[in-house]
Amino acid sequence: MSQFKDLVIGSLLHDIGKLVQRADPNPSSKTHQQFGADWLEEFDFLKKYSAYSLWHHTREARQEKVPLLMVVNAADMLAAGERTKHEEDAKTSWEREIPLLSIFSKIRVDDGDSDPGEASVSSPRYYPLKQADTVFFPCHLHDEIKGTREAYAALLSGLETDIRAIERAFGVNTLLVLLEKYLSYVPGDTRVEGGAPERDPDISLFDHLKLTAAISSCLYGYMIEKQPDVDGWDEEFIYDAAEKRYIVLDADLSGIQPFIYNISSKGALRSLRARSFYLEMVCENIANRILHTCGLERVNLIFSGGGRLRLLMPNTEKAREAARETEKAANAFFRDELSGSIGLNVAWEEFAGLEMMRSSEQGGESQRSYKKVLEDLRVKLETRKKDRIIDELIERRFEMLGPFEPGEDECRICHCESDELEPLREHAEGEEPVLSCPLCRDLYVLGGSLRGLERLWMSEDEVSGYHSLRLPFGHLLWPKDEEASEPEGGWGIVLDKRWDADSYHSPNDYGLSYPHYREGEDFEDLAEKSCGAHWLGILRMDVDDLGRIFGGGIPEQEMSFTRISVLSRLMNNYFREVLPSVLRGGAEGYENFTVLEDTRFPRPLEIVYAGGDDLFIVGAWNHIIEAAFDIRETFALYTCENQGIHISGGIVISRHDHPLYDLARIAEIAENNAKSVDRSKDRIEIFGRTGKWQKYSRAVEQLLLPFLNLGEGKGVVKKTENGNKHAELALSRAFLRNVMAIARRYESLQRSGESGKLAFPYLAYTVARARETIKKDGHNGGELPERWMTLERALFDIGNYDILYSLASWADLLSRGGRTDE
Amino acid sequence: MNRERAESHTANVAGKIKSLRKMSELEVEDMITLAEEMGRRLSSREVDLKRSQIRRFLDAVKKIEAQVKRNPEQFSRESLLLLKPKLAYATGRLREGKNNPLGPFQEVIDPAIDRVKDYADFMRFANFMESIIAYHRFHGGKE
Ligand SMILES: [Zn+2]
Repeated sequence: MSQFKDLVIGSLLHDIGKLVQRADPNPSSKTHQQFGADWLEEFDFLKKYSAYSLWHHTREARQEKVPLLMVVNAADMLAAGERTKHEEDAKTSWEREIPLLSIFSKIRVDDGDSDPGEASVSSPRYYPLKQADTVFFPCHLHDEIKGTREAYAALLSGLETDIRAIERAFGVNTLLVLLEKYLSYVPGDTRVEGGAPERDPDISLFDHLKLTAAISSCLYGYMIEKQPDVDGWDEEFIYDAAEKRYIVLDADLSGIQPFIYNISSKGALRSLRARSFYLEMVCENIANRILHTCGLERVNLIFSGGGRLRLLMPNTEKAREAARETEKAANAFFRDELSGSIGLNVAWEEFAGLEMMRSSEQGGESQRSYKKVLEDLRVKLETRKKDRIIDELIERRFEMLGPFEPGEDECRICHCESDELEPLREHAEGEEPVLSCPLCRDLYVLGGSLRGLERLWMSEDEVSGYHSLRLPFGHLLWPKDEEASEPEGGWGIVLDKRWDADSYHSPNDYGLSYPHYREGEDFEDLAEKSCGAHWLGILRMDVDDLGRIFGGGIPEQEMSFTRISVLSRLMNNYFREVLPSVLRGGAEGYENFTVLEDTRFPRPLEIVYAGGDDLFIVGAWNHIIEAAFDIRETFALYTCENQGIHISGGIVISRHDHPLYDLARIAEIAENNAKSVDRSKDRIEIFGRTGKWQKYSRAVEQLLLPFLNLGEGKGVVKKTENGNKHAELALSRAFLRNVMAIARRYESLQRSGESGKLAFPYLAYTVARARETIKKDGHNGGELPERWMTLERALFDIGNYDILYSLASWADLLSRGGRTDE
Repeated sequence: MNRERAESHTANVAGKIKSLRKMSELEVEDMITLAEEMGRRLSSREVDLKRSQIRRFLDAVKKIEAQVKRNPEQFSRESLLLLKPKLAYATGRLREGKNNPLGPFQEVIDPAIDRVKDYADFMRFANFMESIIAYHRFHGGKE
């Protein structure tokens, strides 16, 4: 292995002794450096990295004057956000019990209303010491949250087993997967400072190791360009933190929305899923290409998701050239293969080691914080996008991306012009064939094979007999799950079984967290799994004020490169990992939101896209609404119920054959409505009515449940002869329709400047008649049930009138006979 | 509620109506409050007005409403004023013994009719009348 790869792996393993030490019955017998070195010596193929563990601390590394060890030491200090690292670890055993604090506990977003300095979180939350392949939420400190020796020993023994299992395929990428699996919830640093415990650690050992390796590789890349003889690197050179040695690079794909949604409804769900997935792969490919071109590893990939990615790179000509050249090559590909509907924008900002660190450590020196570095980068990327669009306008005819009417020689799915139109799939006699372009056909095949897809290959060579998809840079994507003849010189991407060491065949393989979920074959299919009306729901959601969370959420004195990187990894992780589990009904410590008895999981819906800070989901309409509440609740749990972090969304409910681009557009409007009502956001729009989440969930209790069931429990579901399901109404449909009419009347009166209360006498009359029915039916021995009284109060409460129509429509649709034409 | 206090409530509502120049001056919120008070009172055991006893008046008002809604400018007070003697006749017929269920209704509706000058007044009057009947039922008034 090359010197460079050794350095990266050495950096990834430098603090492994912390895990070994905390798993040991006698942790104070050695330093963590010694524990780590001894442990590495036990594996033949890891022996050579023991020096990185033994000498990564300042004093020893400098004494030994081994340049690469000093590089790790310098990187370690920058990753930890400190100018000088403490000389020794504390040797007491109690510190082993300190758990990992969720970084979301620390975020304080100033929404302009609360007092400055007021905490956004009522009390801190911690992670239990577990592997990363289970989904759980940070919780309050209790005995089981503490890191026991046994819990550490279990993690260590799992790591040992997996390390042995990947010996054959051992490399940076595979090691990274194992570290993420076992060290994501292990606190990085539980030392004692001046006899008192330092503040709770919020950086995991995984993040610390990965970011140390990223910084090491930048230092190496930068210094080797300046001074190719490594033995000539002296202490002064290595530890220089004032030079701009780093680049943070952001890349983003524009035009994603039209690319995904401007497809017709023929075979749409499969195509939709495939297009979204294909874009993910394009993004992966771009990241791999830049890293590969300048000889970096995936440790330098800070973040990828939502058509965006961020890399940490050395500030070298090679790296800048790789970035420029990749942008150009990708755009050429998009122009030739995808009629220019997508564009890649790349921008970067140079910065110095000092700018990675906490500002409190900087002793009054005037320099940017890392937050400011990112702000400057954001401005550059925006400018780059504008410039690129103008370039395109001049260079070639500008194609409007609006929805087209399909024409003769157009692909019936994406509407591009193509001379190679062929039927998308086999069609029955007399059925109109769906003529489509080669890309759409390929994507349709990919869409069909996404279920249970365990492995993909991304390579430069074709393998005959396999169906491949073209990616930028002449790369190909192989979605087939075959053992035989994997191409040389590419990347194996492990999807479904990415936590299993056995799934990794070569050192270049890496695991990708993709929000994998599969329910329906097509929209009609999903719509049919609805309760009541067979309609389709579309949900779009995203995190409110992301800029404020990242820009000012971390306390100034703790703002560092590492913390921002951790925050973005964890944010993305919610959408990639937690969300699919929640929708499947399997998130630990959370009970799914349902309004009906016997709701079956996984929910009949499809994640079209989820990552970064947003999501797009389609599915059975009633599940879509419930899923929105699940997402809001679990996102709140995930972010420690931080008052400054919330998510808003919009739902559209429609017939399944309505054009998708239009539904996507209306859902976007709904989402924007939810975000623009006032500055507080934290809202959902359903049936065109916007309200705070809390208000909606209260209304579910006070209005929706009583509409469905006046006794105890949730809505009762009945199956009709043809197998369709619908909910029963507690009272007549006429009652519900009257409530809807009253709600509409209230709204229109208010809009016209009259008092909406003019609708109340009609409400009184409607309520009086309903009461008579309840009494006549002899519910509750002539007494009005408690739930009915709750409903009455809620109906006369004008505070509910902005969303009353929505709740009544919900009940109404649930109770319909299941025909789409109602 | 004792009879005297109940009566004073009716007087209170009638007083409010009399204090207006025109029915359209009656704000919606107040109108709802007054109508609910009337509805509660008329349905009370002491008064015990049956809905059938005022149904005819409501129907008449509805009829006028249907006519003028199409042509608001053709509204005239005459048809509405006719209700007053009808109401007086019906009240007179029911006056047997102490209890007259239509009495409190007449006490309030009469001055309300007097305050209908134009279309806007009429619409508010119609709302008021309908509201009284809705709340009458809401508070348990019989058919
Ligand atoms: Zn096409």
